[in-house]
Amino acid sequence: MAIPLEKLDSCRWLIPKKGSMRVPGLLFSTERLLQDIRNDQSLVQVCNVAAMPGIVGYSLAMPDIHWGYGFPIGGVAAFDAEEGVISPGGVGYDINCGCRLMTTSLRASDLSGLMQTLVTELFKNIPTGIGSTGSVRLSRKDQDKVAVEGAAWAVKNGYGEPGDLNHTEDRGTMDGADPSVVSERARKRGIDQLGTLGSGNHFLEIQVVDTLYDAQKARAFGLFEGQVTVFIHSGSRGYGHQVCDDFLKEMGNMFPIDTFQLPDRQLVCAPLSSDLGRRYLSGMACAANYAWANRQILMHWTREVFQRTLQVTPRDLGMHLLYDVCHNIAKREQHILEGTAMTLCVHRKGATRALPPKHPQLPDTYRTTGQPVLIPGDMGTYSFVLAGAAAAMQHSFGSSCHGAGRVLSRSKAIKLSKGRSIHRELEDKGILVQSRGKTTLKEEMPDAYKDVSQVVGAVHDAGLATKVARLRPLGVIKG
Amino acid sequence: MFSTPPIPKPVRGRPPFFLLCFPQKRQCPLSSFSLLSVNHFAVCTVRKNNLNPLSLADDNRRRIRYHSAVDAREPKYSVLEHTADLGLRVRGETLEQLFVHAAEAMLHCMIRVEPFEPVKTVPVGLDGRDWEDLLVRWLGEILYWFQGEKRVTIRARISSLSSRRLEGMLDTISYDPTHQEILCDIKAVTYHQIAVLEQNGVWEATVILDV
Repeated sequence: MAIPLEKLDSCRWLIPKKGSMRVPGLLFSTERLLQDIRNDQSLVQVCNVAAMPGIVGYSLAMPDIHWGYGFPIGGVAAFDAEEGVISPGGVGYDINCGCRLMTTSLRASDLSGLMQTLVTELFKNIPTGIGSTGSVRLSRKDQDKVAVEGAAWAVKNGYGEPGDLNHTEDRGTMDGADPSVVSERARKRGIDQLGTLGSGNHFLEIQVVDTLYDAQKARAFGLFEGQVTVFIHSGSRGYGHQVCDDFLKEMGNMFPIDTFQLPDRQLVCAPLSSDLGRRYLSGMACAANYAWANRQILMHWTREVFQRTLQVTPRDLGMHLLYDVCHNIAKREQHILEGTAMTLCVHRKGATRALPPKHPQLPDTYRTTGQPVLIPGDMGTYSFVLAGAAAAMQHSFGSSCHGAGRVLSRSKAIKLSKGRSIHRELEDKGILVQSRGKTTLKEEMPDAYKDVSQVVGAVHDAGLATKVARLRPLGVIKG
Repeated sequence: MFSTPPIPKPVRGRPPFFLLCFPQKRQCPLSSFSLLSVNHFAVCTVRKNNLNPLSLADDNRRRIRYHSAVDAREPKYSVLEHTADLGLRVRGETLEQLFVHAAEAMLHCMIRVEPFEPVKTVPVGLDGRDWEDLLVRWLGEILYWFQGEKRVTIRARISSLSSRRLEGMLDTISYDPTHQEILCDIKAVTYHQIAVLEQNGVWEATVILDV
């Protein structure tokens, strides 16, 4: 079914309100990216989200949008805090899947001859892969503390420095977490997965700062050309998946299917004002905190591996957290809508918050620059650092894209990779890869994703966030 | 149900493996085999030689064509294209068969298993709002036993089924990465585009799995 689009300008397209849509859709994209977007059902999903109760403004689609389940991946939707709903599908199974970028004092030349050893050591010491378990042993009480305190728990227990929390979204702790709403099944799935990278599109990547677009902001972010950086992409693992699954089932039981037809059952939801809605938000906060603790621990181990392998002191390594962002989350935020200040519940599923300069929620370090927005590319191409800009608050509820976005299904990617050695192709580009899964590299090959430069270009041109730096991969570990 | 190792290209008129039927599961004396269980029959295949792996969709369609004791000609499931996840379309002559086939399809895509070790049978009792909800919960249960309890289902049985309640049994073995290979990291069973329909006397289900 072709969804009609009206071009507003070079990077914004309107999906007019029709049928059961309560608001129009708004897609941020270039003409070129639109060709890929039209190949799957993502725009249908934008329209479906627009039909949900209490939605305000637009059903938004970022340039990396692709077909998800219920909400599209790369979808943003805001709901009135009093009359709107919360939808677990609008957050996603991997609650607080997100990424963090670390800067170092090293230059790429400092790793000359050591890259292979470094990648191998990271692969040995960072648990990756399907069903991987970590070395962090949690008692039930500890697990509850992780759920409430998030990254702060990790720092308190020796995984990192207090300063890391200043540069983590929400300081790595989401308020309102209540472990009593988390099921035994979620606890069981998460008990031995803290400090694990995961599989699929999760990764840890060593990079070099390849290009600076904004020297002033780059300096404020601590970036310089030729600098070694490290990118981590991971989430809440089985804990978050089970929390989402449990609440989808519970909301499914309660949803009044006789009076309200959902266009997609994965969009099941509950009023924000209801007990069920509040319990989901508490459970979601637990999973979000678990993910922040997870990424904090992964960063700590990365620091240790670098120090040990390169035989440098922490001071000489200088590995600092630039920022940590989530891209699967729902948050209560203040926004101005048609001149009126409103409290909204903003769902971001495969989308990143992008706060502009002077926003009160920014740490002091970034008040003049805007929030760092971290956009990982696929493993064969660049990642980008951007800075949140004013237009994001006006047009996208302070949101930006989260990555490159898939264009190929996993089975198509595997077919396309027949007869090719993805490992060798990446090596030829100077990128060393170690992965655990046999099909991971094929499924995650660069051809399976959109051109991240185009995605970032669309975000930049739309004014949602401005380009600061481009990062080129040197070594990657994947599950 | 076990996934099978890569199988040789079919030779016209002759299946490339031996079919053996055991009334109960036992250690097969032959080396290098895997076991597919369909309802209460056990079907053994013997790997003839090693081959380059096929694509996921092709491989699974061929396995089902040659290994289904229910109907060797008609595939029980097919893989649907989905940009980021895994879609399955499953068939069955009855709803009970459909639910068993759906379990087998998911497991077939998820894990390759070498036999055997003591089997633990897990009773399952699920309530749902309709067939679709029950199917998601049924597959979700099997997935939980793997993801949460580290137990792989090798046979899924339905003892009673209505549109609101399912009762069944899962025969499970411990997850052992040295003898079992995960083919696809299935993380959840979604409600997206879930459908259970009867068409021309055949039941068909569509389910999208989060990977």
